[in-house]
Amino acid sequence: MSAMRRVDMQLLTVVLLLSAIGALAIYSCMRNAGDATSRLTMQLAYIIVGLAIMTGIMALDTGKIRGLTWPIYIIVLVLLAIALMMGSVRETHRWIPIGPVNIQPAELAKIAVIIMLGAVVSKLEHEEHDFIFLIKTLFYVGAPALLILLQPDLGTPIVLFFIWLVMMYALGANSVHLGAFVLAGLLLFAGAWGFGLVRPHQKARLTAFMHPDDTSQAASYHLRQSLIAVGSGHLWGQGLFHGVQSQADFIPDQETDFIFTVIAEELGFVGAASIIVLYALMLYRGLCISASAPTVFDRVVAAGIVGMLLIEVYVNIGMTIGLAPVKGMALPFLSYGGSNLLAHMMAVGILQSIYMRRDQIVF
Amino acid sequence: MAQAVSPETQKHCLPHPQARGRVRLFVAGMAFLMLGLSLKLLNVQVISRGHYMLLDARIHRGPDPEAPVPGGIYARDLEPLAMSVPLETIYADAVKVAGSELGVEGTATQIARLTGLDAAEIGRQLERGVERNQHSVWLARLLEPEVVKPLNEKRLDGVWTETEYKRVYPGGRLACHVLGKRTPWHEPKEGAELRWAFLLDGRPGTRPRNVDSYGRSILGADSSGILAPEPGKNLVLTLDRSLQEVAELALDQCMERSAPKSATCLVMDPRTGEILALASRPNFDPGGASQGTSEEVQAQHSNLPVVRQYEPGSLFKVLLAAAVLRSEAYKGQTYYCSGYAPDVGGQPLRCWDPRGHGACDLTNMITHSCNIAAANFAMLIGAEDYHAFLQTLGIGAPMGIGLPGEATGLLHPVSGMRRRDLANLGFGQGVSVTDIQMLSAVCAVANGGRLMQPHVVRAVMDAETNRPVREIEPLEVRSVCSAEVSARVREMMGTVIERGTGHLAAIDGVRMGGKTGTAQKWLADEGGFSHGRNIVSFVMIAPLDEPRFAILVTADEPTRGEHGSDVAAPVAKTVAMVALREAGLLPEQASVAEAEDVPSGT
Repeated sequence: MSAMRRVDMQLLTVVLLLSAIGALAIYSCMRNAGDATSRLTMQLAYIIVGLAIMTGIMALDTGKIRGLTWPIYIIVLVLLAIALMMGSVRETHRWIPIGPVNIQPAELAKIAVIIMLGAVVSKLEHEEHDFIFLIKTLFYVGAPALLILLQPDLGTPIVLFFIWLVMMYALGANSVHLGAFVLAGLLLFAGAWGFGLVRPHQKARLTAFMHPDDTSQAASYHLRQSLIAVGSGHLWGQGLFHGVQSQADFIPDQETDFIFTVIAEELGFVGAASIIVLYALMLYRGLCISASAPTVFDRVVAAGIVGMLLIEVYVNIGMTIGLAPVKGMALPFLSYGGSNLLAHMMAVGILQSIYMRRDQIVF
Repeated sequence: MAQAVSPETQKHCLPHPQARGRVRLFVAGMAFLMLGLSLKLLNVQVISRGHYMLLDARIHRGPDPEAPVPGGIYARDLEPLAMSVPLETIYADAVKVAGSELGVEGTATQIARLTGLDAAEIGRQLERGVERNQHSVWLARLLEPEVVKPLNEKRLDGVWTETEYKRVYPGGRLACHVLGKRTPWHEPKEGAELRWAFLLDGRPGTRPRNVDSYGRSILGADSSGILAPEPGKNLVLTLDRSLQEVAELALDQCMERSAPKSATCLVMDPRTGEILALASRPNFDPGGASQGTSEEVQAQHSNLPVVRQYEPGSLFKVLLAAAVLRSEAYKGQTYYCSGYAPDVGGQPLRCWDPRGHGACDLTNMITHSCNIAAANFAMLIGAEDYHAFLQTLGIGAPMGIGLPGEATGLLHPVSGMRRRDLANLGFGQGVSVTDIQMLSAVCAVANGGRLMQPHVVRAVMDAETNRPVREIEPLEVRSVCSAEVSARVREMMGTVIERGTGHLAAIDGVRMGGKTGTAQKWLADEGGFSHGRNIVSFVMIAPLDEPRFAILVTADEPTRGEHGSDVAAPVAKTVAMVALREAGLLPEQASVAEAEDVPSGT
């Protein structure tokens, strides 16, 4: 039967559009950096592999996915441990070099945590969703989060916590309880800040977005360059391949974390706002899939994916325009990078898989 | 729990009943965040555009592009006379240092500890920079690379080192007037260093057109017109180091013996116009600091053979002889000199020797340097002819020697020249020349009649491959007289040494030509010629038949000795001895006999 007809075409279209725009933007900002063609080729390869994996997952029943929970979770924990033992890049241990590519297990950890939490809550479906229950589930987040914190990477654990929050909310956990966890998290962070556990350069980075014009701060450099690029995009943009800041290879990590600045500068407010609309559509579709999911696992997992996409999109775009601190966080489907793209293709594959089986009768 | 939902309701995405409220809240939250992003974006890109354009406008000129390695200056044997050594200079961003953890004092102490420099001095430099709000001040200049190595490893906040070049002159004061000097910042200041800086220094690449507030260049926008730096070229001079050394030593001896105010020695190859040696006294140390009053310093730095113009006096009679020989009016005339002529061009004229020289033909005019005969010969050939010939020889026009500040000399126009002026011009008064002009002209009449372009640069070499990119070939400016005339002038010059005023310069076994000069100085402030304050000179060509060396020596106001013959001729002889010996033109016994006259170390 026409499985294709059951696919969420809006979601698929958004993914394809974002991937194509991302590849174009990567090519644009790397043109003067020398290896634009190889980057473009790599990214196109990632997109094709990602689409293949997405299709593969779509073919799987979500029950099968659920059955793979523990192997995936264990593999991710092992990979995270291996990454810690690898040599450092930019003084962090985030990558595992395999041949020509570096894989970033933290990206896969998000998916693993989402599936794991889905499996755990559906297994404990009949338990009361009280405070103890929430703490139990939080342990499954804690293990990978701790390994990622050691890299060190503060951004991904926050994403994981947010994913947990959204999933528990979707499950129907007590809002007051969840609020208490958020408060506890904030207090923990404030304590770490106060007792000097947050290193000065991290503090600087976290607060730089509040005063982008302070030129004495090196931390605000990245943001200011980014703002200049975005600001010079104006309404219609400077034209693809014509952004001064982007073409000048001016903004560090522009092909990865700051890819949004390329689009904003070269395609203007119209282009950049279109990207936000595309993401909003993607999130909305995700939410619909979650809301109409036939099982608790499906509902919660879909919500987790939506939560992941939401915080990633918000923080990434937010940091380029001064609404969020500068964190090393990729923009889904747009940023250059294999692990990130594959993880998100998997996520969309899971969403599609849930959607395709929406009218199956489940016991 | 079992539940079936129809596809229709799915399409419209109706939420699961138990989660409906939460989904609505979540959608609202999502919408809030996405709207927040969009509004902020609208603000940054459209509404507050001006603010970000202002940030954008903080684009300024980039730092000076790195200077290429400067080339060296070499003698004709390719021994270095000037070269650049890379050294390290410590710079600091005073503002940044003041705001750093260590602060000004801490940074100064750290630098002093790491390099062994004086902390107080570094502290003072930093303080001054802080007061003036400077982002780049030097703390200590031109240090050996090993000294700053520990500092570079430490990477203090706001402190860095840059490579700068120090100019060193391996020969010390040797040829200082040709080489010139550079400022402590390596900027060319005088001499060949200045004149040929455009080759020596290469060309720094053009700076990137635009740079952001962090000094990063904006490429891509407009990278046209950015040129890569071009390395400096090496300059090979025509100077012969051993002749230069002997010229310097001989001048030192002359300064000691005769104590003139200044003295010069110029050696040229008459065949090519190459300057083989150029020395001047007083002199200076190009690698060191100036010493003395500003007047003394000015005198030390004056490249007299090039920048000074003076009345050549009797030296000019060599040129007169050539002019007479090629004149149709000359039929072997002889003039009688009794030491005093009552009417030369309307005024009485005294010869330098009151006893007179008797009957003077052209040869005797030169041999005895008879002024009365010279005046008559000049009047014989006439102003037009004589003046035109002098112009042909380059008198009164700069020669283009290739060193800065070359004087033009002065040759009055024919119109308005009275007979007495013409008579004076015969023995070199009422005209002024530079050493370069004088010697070039003598070479021209002595080398067969070809005026050669005098020059100091022999070749320009690529610094990396050390291959010549340009070799300067000898250039004949013009023909000035026939070879026959030239040969007869040489013979006359030979008699000056054999039995005339230049006998003190004679070297056994080698025929040479010469001419003495003793010229009164025109004193502008007194409005007349000086008495007893002379520039004495001697010009020499050797060997006589095929001159390979032309030497001009001058001494200004010698206090012991008063003629070119006794003050200048011995200097020329010393130089000629070495020149001839090195050229293998000196007979064996002569070199032994004269050995004690020649300074050692050549």
